[in-house]
Amino acid sequence: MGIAASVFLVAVVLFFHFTGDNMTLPLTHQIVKYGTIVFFVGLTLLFVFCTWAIYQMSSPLRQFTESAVSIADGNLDTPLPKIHSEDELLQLRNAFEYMQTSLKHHITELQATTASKERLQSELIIAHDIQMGMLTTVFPERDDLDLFASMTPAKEVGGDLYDFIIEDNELFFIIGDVAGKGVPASLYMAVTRTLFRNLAGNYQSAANIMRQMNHAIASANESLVFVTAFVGVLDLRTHHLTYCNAAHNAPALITADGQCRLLDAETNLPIGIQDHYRYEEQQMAFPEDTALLLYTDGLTEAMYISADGGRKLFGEDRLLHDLEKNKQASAIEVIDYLKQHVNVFADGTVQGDDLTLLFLRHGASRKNDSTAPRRIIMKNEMTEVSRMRGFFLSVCREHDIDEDTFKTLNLAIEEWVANVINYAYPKGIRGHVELTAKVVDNVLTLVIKDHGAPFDPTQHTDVDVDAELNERQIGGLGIHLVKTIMDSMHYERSADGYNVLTLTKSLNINNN
Amino acid sequence: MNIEIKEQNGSYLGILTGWIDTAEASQFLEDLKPLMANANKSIELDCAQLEYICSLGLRGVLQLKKESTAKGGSLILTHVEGEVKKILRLTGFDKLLDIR
Repeated sequence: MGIAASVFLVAVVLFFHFTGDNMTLPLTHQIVKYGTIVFFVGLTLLFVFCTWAIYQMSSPLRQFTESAVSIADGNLDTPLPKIHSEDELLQLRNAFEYMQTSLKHHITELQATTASKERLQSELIIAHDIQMGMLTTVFPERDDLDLFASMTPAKEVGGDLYDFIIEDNELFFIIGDVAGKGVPASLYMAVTRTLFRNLAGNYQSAANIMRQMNHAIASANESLVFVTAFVGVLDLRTHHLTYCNAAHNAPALITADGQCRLLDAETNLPIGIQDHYRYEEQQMAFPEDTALLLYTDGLTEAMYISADGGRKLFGEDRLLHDLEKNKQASAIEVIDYLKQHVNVFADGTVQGDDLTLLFLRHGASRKNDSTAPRRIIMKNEMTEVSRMRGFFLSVCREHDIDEDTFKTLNLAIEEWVANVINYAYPKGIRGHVELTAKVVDNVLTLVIKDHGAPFDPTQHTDVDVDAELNERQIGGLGIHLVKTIMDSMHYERSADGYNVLTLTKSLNINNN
Repeated sequence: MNIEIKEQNGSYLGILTGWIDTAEASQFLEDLKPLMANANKSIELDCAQLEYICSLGLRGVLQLKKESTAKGGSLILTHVEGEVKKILRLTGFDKLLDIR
């Protein structure tokens, strides 16, 4: 550019020097005069040219800027400037293009992820509602029972469960804890609760319910999930509790005289581990004013983690101490108190496990009407005779019948009931036997009913108790015992097809 | 219900404990089998801890007595008290069994 301007300047000076009228001025002066003019004109031209050139060269950059702003505004399909040269601008354009497609891809992906996460979240909320809906929240309104329960899952859904139903004055209840948390555990929770619902009632014993739940779960349990559970059957008329513990925390007991302790609950295997495991049940008298608190380890293992990382568990001692303080409180009060205490104790430490509580207190109901008949309905299964023993024991205690008399009378009833269980119904057919007991004017009246084949024991030939050993028949002893022990025995085949055996016994109540 | 069997100098001692009711009776009959197999020896059934026995349980004892008599062994019941004593009387078993 400089060379071109110098050549141009020399040419102009020579032109004016030989053709112009200013021949008077010396050549050097002319060079200075025209040179100055030409210098400024050239500078102007140079400025104009450079401005034009820069404008031309930066045009694609301005377009890139506009594109970038447009893309940032969310218009991912904004066209990019066309570059024909093979320089840095082309590289920049390619980079822009890559950014555009990448952005589009990631945004689509993010939208899909967000949508599915939102769907999962809303499904979890629905699952939570369904799970909570499975837990009975309508509690019985009865004089003889105060029951309340609650479940607080650690996540949206949990693996804890409780349930209860009352049938024929028998309260069936369960608390359980599926190993693990979250959705997998909640599936087993639903299964266990449904099984319990179907099995409870029907005059089932606690151990039987446990056995059948175990069979149902253990026989198809690929993932080896197991459930710890405690099942109880409280007869509200006989004040008798039978229970079966499948490796669950021993419930806390408030005895009628106000002592708080853990229930003696022998441990069986958790549900789901071994099919056909023989669950054993225990039993105890459960007089009025006795209360039971069932809980999952979310209570006793509620944790407090201090600032320096020290850990402390809620533990059984705090639980028993709390019960001691709330001995007279209602079920809902006890549960509210415990939940609050756990919250205060954890002091912000995140709840690690589901927390479930069920409290029941057996209250007074029958207004001291000791002449009202009491009834137990049994299935045609031999294990029922031990349940009957519990029932009859509480009848005897209510009427101050001494231990030996109870045993003798129990033998008479058992012999007959066992006979019904063994022979009244065809093999494999489910049937029932009902026992009603009442004491009026020191006379015990027992009525035993079954719907099986007709059988009149009064027509049965009595065994010869005086026969010699070799002539002595093995059999027929039972009916002989019933006849011998009781004062009277009356049989009737009712019009609607029941064997009705009525037995009476005068009670020698002590005169002291 | 529990039955504990001890052998000493060729004679047998069976210690019966608790309730033998109808539900437990079949197990009781099963538990008696070792004694049944040695019915030719002298056998003692200690009933001090026995609280209750139903007719099915009594049948087991009667069978053992018959077997013992047939094979020339001996069977005695010791420490028979209270309710069990009463049941044996009511069934006439007190006349059939050697109770000491």
